[in-house]
Amino acid sequence: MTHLSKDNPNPEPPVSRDGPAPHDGVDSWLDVLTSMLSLPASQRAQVRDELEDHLRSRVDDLLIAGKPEPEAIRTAIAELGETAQLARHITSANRTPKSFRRFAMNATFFVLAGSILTAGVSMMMPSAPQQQTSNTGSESVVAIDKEPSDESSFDSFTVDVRDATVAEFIQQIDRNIERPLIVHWELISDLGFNRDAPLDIDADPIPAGLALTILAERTEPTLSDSIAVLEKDDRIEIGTRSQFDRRTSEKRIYDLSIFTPEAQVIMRGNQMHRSAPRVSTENEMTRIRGLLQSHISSDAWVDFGGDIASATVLNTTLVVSAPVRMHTQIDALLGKLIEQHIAQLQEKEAHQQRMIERASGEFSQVRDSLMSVRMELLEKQEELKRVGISPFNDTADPEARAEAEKRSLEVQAQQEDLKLKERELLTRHDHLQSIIIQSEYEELTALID
Amino acid sequence: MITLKQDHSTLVVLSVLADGPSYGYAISKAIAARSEGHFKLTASGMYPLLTKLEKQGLVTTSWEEVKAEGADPESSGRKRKWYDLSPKGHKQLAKHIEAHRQMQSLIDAFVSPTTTHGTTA
Repeated sequence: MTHLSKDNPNPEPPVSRDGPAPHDGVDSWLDVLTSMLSLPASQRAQVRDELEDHLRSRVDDLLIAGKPEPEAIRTAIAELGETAQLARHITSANRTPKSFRRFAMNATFFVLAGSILTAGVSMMMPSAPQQQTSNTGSESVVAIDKEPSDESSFDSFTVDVRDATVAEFIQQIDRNIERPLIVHWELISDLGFNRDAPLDIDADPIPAGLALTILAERTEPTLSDSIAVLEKDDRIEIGTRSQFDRRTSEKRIYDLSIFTPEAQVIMRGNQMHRSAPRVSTENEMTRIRGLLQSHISSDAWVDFGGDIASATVLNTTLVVSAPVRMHTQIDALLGKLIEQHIAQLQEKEAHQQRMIERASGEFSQVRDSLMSVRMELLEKQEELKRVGISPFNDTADPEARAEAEKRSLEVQAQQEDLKLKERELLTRHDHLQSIIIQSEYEELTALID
Repeated sequence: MITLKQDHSTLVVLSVLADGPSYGYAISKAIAARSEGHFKLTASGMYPLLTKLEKQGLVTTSWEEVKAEGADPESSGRKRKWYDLSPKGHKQLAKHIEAHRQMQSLIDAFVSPTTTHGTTA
């Protein structure tokens, strides 16, 4: 086995094997999958090679395990999952450029009243007059590198971009969409997009969305900004992420009360023990805010030197001013946090329930032991009395008297041991009893509430 | 069997690659082996993720020609794509581990230790 291009950062697969190879179930499945990939031919070939290696490796393992070949092939293919879904995910991943920031939102949202469109809006053609557009109504930002299930205006048609310039490519898009297309050339030229530059995509007609993705890949990687598409009811705009961020900024209030210690008491109900909260509500709110800021566009937050988003804790709420794309991420992260939080509380509740059950079991044992010790104490008391009224006490027989005194001392020592044991058991008994009574009380309280 | 979510997948795959270069099928087997069969990263999750990691420069790739045992030495074999963690990938893995620990710490802050002692003997 030879590594053909181990150190090559942009490796190409080896040349396809010569000569006809037997066409089996794996090849048939690969034919279908490859036909579903909306990718250039070279990428399709690489995906096919990689999945073929996966399938044949798996088939080899299954054959070694004793499966007949037809069954091994069926199993290996079935394990890869639904073919169309796999093709969609692979296509999407290969279309996602590293320099392109995700606008993972198709939802319609409203722009803050009073904000205005960036000045210098121009039509896509170099000679087009400047346009100032209104800012009323709803709009949505469409991800160029959207999820496979998303649909946008750019997926419904293909463009022939061979030998085309950027402007000519945009012209093709303009011809295919019903709404006016506005391109903010001045802003996106700062990202390295020159309208007269060749698009330099050597491919057959491809979906416009894919061409846009490839175009976006040309964004200067050192820039923190990126190209973005804003889709509105009455027009489509191509501009920059930062531009649309400012226009789509809005304020939302997030309820974080579930993370307060008080909420935990309510949620945990009858199993809640009365230990003091380990952290204050204020600290918890601050902690959640810090977590959101560090995980979502951290350089955008005012607290971290950005100018896109801000977050303020007010009691048990978090007031966030941010672009809608960030709100979407906040919603998702908070949802996960709450989900985990509730799961942890439920686990804790179940654990405490088990502890109560164990306490109840132990309480019965301690109570029985206590009864037993007290019975022994009574027996010792009786024995002492018997020793005390013995005729030997009145006899002058010094030997018998000494024997009685010795026995009396032994019984008294045993009594002391038993009393010590009784006290220990009593303490444990009272402790367990208080736990059980408290849990019953809180259960009753919860029922009344 | 637990199907890995996206957040965990990156950490898991980078961790597997931290042990040395590997390829798709071997990575999926390593994940199953290291989790004792509890974790499963589906093909539709793993291959797009590997592509993403490659685009982000977290892994480097290379192709190898693989021949079946007993195959004609003159014939061509199939192609295998290898993935290797880049220096950037190593740094990213360290960040993921740190973020993972921060998240654990956050969750721990909401619950008392489950190994509470004192109420039972």
